[in-house]
Amino acid sequence: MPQEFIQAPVGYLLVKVAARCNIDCSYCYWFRDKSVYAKPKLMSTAVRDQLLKRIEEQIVRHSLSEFSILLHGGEPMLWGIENFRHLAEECRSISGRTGGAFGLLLTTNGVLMDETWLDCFEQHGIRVSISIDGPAHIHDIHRRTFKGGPTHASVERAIRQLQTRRIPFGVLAVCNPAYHPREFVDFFTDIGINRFDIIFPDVTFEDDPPHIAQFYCDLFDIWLEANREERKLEIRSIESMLAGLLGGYSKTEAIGYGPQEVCTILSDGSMEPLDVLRIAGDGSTQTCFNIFDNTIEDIKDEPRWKAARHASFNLCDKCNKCQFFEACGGGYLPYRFSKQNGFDNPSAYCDDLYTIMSYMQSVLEKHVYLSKTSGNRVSIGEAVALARAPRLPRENLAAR
Amino acid sequence: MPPLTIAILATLMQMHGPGTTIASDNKGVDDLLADVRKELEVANSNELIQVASKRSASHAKNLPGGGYAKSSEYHQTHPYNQAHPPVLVPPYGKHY
Repeated sequence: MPQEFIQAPVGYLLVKVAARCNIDCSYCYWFRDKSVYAKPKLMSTAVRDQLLKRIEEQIVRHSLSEFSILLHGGEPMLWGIENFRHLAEECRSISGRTGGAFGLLLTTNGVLMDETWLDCFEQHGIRVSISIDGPAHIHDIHRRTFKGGPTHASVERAIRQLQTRRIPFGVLAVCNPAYHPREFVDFFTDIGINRFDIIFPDVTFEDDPPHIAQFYCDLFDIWLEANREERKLEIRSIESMLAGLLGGYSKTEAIGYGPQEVCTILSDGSMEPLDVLRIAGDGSTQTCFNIFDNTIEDIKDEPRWKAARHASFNLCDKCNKCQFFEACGGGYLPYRFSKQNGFDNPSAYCDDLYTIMSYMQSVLEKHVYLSKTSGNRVSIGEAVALARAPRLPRENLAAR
Repeated sequence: MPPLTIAILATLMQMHGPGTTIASDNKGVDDLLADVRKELEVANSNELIQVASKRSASHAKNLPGGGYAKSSEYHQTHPYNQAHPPVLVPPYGKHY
């Protein structure tokens, strides 16, 4: 049975400050919905200022101690450094007036990065994530310029600049199952990155994506080996799946049972549900809500946002019967969409997720144990088997 | 072995006596278990019954004592339902 989840006030916005991009990635979900071309290329100062007003209002009304803004696109750096500076300075002013702390985050392809931008990130504490799909021969397959040229060298240069300035940053790659994950991991570790994520390619249930199970099982093996004696490698997707299998909680919205509550602000100030849902087709996320007529909290009354949230934890029959219901949570919501059934489908990656989690589960069983005060260890598999055995009284278990 | 939940683990801990904890011989896995151990501490301090969800109970129904769930407590205790849920605090998803 699905659970209900109490809603906290909105404390996080995904803000599309640019509706266009400066590169032409073949797999981008954003431009699969042509209605994005009807949006302003860049967020205007009027929209920016109204957004800041709404954020301050939200913080005050709900006594929020923190608020996060993820600047996204398109390519958000197309918005220009002056807009970034102004936004950051205004956030600081709001923070001074309200006491609410701000997290300013940026996801970028890194192509426009230069020393001036680095100054801006450093000065305003903007936390940067760079998209790079591993080594050049994998990255440049999909992430190309509009003229068809490669982009890897520019992105790697941006990473080197961030490293030289010691500005902390994250790395996001998209899985390409045609290659062994060792190629991704070796590339990242060779350039000094040991904390990254490799995310699933965006699809809907109607797509027929290549299988990714072997890639992630191999990636898990690499992660396990690297972290055997000390913590050397952090791969968010792997750790989120593992956390779910171990009774913990996912670090990403793309995996694990829970509500999808992202509010996206577009360059014209309109308010929409999770941006990746655009992958469902033209205008599929459009709403009548915008930051001029609505408060941020109003998004909770918006029908499409509500439908997405409801679907995110009301899973299909197959998911409800699955042993990985909680660890998987049906996977990422967009991957469940079909025109015929809406979100009432398993993930397009359901078979892969099942294979990955079954494999992880079998490996975890060998590495996880109960540690007793006597110093004895009981393997987790044995502990569960013992607990299932009807003839063993509990007193005997405790004495083992 | 079923996928673990706090409810299942709490039951196992209870069955194996006070002071029992969950650990791993792999540092990476053990680090992930640190969060689970914290949850279990909360579970122990708030009584096991309060962290059990309906769903967890249905997966745990083959365990002795598996019928412990009282879902009415779920909303107050599940981390997704806290005012500042640990899982949903960004950066997550589109930022790393």
